[in-house]
Amino acid sequence: MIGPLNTEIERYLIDQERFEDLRQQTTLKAGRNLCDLSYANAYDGPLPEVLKVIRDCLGSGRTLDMQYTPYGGSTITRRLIARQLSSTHGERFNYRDIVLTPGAMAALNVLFRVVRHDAEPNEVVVITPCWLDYPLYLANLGMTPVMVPMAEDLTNLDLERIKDALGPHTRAVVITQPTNPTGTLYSREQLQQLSSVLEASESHPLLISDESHRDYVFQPHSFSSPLEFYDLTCVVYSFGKGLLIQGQRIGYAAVSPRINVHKAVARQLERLCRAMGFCTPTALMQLAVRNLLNTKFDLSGIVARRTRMVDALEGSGYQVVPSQATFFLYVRSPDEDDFAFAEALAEHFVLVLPSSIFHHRGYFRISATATDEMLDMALPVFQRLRENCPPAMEVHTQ
Amino acid sequence: MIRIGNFISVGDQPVHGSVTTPEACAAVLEAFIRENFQVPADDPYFDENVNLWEEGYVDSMGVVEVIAFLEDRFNVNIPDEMLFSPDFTSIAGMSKLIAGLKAT
Repeated sequence: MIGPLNTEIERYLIDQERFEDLRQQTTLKAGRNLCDLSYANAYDGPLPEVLKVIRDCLGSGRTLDMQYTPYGGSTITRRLIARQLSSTHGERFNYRDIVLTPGAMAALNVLFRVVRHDAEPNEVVVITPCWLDYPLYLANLGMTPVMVPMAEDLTNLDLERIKDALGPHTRAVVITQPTNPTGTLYSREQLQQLSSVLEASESHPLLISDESHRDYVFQPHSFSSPLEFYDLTCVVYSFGKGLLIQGQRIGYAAVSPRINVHKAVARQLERLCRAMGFCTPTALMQLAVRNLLNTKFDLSGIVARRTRMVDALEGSGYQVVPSQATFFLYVRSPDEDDFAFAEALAEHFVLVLPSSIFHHRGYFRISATATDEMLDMALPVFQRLRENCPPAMEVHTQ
Repeated sequence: MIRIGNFISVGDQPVHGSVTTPEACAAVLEAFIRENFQVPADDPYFDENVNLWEEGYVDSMGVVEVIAFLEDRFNVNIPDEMLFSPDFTSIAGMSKLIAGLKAT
């Protein structure tokens, strides 16, 4: 009755489901003592003004405001997003270049699908460590993820390895800017060099720039989109991260106007939203985000929490990857088996994401979206486990 | 204020009489579109000549609202063929058509 998933999908689900089990068990055992530093769920909740806008939208008196919207989303919301992107990304977007999706996940899926050529090999270069489900989606679509590690410093792209990974069947390259899980920001020079590599390649792949965390870039650093540097680029964005309403599932795929067939690409994305069953985000959220585009983010709380975490972890002997953006810190695990270390932390009710989830080994990710009270409980646990780490399990730094 | 069905506010009382200049019509229509279709005051791409449909200033439901607004506000009946005129895509074009109807 239940058709089996293919072996690749099963393989990618092993670590993800193992963590879900750990999370569930730990939550049950910990109760109110849970210190959840794993997923980016904002325990402090969204800003009151964000919630007010959503509530106000429920009072909209316009006929059909709560009904179906066209594939691709509400025209007015798309136009306002296009205008915003035109001012931030240096290109003149038309509303049709923006395809609203139920979160970034759906945007990624339709973008992967749009470059798939049936009856041919389909490879997509994925820079690792990466957001957990890129390879899973590709496997589900019958496409092959070609994993290319970042440079050893976990800060820069390894352009030589990317060049080596590109072949005649490379349909796309997916990168995260700023990166998740490492929280680093690729420099303009890196992006220019990446563009040169892609332009010189045989296949001229689509560059998918996942910019879900671009609202969280910390001074004095600034965000640069890969779209500025390479013509064949599509941007993926999630409103959930910026507005701290992750569960509301609204995002988009934006097609660069510099793609000479950008209208056809966007139209195909709309059709795939239909064919793949993603449809559109809820009408309520489409109304809400158009009124939240100018929300000013106060990053001081996240910065303060990140600073506190870095100081405590480095003070305890951990190696933290230097980062400039996102909620996240990426930390070297004292135990080379990152999952074992995550399980050890979970024994003390501290949840972190082991780097195996991100297709990388020997690290863990923590999120600054937990509460200060959770940090009060968690930081001493990190210190104790670091002190107790047997010498044989020490990681040899490179 | 007038409401059309459960649609949106269409502003002031209908304009009676036979004389309406394109400029006056355009000012009223622009204000209506800015207010009801969320066009920011500093939108650099919005002007009287922009194609309202192609550039996403008015959505498919909004087309009905714009037609209803023009008919009620200017007390005219817009013939079907006028709706398909290339002029019926911009504020300037629609205002010229409405002024023409008022003059006949």
